[in-house]
Amino acid sequence: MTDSCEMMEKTEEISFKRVSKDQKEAEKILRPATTFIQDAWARFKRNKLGLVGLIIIVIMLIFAIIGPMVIPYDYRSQSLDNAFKAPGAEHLMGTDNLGRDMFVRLAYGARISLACGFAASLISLGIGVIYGTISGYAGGKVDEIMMRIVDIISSIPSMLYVILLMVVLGNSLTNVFIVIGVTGWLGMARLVRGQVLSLKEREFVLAAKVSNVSNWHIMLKHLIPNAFGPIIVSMTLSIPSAIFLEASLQFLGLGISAPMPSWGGLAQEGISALRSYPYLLWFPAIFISVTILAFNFLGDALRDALDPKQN
Amino acid sequence: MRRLFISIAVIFIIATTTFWMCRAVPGGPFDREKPLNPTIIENLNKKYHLDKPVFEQYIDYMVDVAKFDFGPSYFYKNETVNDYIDRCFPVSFILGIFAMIVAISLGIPAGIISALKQNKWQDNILKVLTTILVSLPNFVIASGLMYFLGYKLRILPVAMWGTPQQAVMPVLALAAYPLSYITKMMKSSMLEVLNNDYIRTARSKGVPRGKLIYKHALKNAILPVITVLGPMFAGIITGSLVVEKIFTIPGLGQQFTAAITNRDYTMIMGLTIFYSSLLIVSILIVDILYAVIDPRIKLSEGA
Repeated sequence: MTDSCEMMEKTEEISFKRVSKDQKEAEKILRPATTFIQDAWARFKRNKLGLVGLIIIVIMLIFAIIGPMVIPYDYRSQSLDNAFKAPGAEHLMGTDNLGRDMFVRLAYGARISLACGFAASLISLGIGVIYGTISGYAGGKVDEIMMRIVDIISSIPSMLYVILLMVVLGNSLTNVFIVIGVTGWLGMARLVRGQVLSLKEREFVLAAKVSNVSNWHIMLKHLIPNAFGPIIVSMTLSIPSAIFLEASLQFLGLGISAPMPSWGGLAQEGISALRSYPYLLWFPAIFISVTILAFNFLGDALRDALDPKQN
Repeated sequence: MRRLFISIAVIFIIATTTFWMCRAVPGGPFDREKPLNPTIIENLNKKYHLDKPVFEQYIDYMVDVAKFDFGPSYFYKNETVNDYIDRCFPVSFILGIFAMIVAISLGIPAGIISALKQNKWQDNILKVLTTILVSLPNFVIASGLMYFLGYKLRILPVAMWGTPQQAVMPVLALAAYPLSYITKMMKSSMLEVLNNDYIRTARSKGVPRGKLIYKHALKNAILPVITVLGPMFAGIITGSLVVEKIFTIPGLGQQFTAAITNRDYTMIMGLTIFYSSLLIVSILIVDILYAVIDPRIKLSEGA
């Protein structure tokens, strides 16, 4: 009896050894706590195409900002002696029909196109978020009417009323921003409305409501921040379409006025000399396409990173 | 019926907005750098009924539009906007139809391949190709084709309209964007259908793979693609503005671009209304077709 008692005590000692705190921690099956942003960045880094897109965009931004300061030419000074110089050491990307350096014109074009992309998508972001939030939060009849308006506007090709608005407002850079921004918010409004519709049924909104938080406060502080991921993705994807639209407008002769260059305008000038001096078209065409491609890659990567629910 | 009514209302709203927007433009249509003789302007205003009050002009215009009469052109003397639509629209129509045929007949098989070989090399190649096609503005595609096929290889004429060879490049340039759109759409719809229970049932009872895809999956997967025909049509209209300009095709798109340059307001107004009505009617037809083909969908739900 005493033997077995001793045995038991012994086994107890063996099986229930105290463990130190460190060991306890080591047993925990937990990954280090990450914030949403860190998590998203980790997912983003895995996407090679997205990284490439980001790098291209950063290079383009640097080119747009620093290019005009560094290149020893001016976008409008003409010298007919130097017209149609092929790309070489003196003029990196050649000169156009008036002897203007293409490289510096492309840098100014980058300013215009990128500014247009960002400004237009910011405008459509603003309108779309406000419209979508109100529509989704109000619900019922208001929502139905607001969304029917969106349906009606989106049934007309945006190019048509962009052209009409440009004709009415006249050619200027701010008008291009406004027109493209004002016509591009439909998708954003739909997206935000969808997000708000599902978010407003969640408990935290109910909790806010019962604690007498005002409707505006709920929309601004609770609903919009929670829909942030999809909003950012959609904004990134709307930048290339704004650049695309600006280039097409410029191509049709609407947009900013000469001599200020934009990529679309440069491409249009290039086409008229396509047969003899094709480089005048290739460079702007490559710049436009690569930038749009980069934004598309970035947008897709951001979608995977910020919107994990989709997978 | 309700859908029809909404469509007419939308066309009416578009016509109204277009009219007032064009009236809001500062400066009259006959302002020139060198001012014209006042009597000439007065006579011109009388000829185009611009001396009447604006609201009366509006009523007149709306009545005319309801009769499909878009009035005279401000820029071309003795010709009406309708003359131009009659003359130029058939060209644009043929161009658009061929672009659609190319986009559909290449896009649907590409989407099917992409769905069946998901994440294999065929899918990856198609994914990269469609992303590139979406990122290339149509004037880049058009001028690229023009340079390589027209100038370098000299196998196709570079511009104008009339022979089948001249149609090849514009059609390809126009088809590029809708093509990638349809491919993506077809792929996602095919993937969705392939996950359905009835496909598994068919597979487990031993239906051969080819028959499974063509008889069971394709019929259901192709339905959602019909709905993109509307947006696709819009894309082709927009594209035709640029493409017709590049290839100097005497179509409606080029007429529209010229009207912008000439500030020919009646032409811009008329063509905008014409294009939008065309689009709205075609969306309506697509919706009705969709309901006829797929009895699971009732029009009253969406409308």
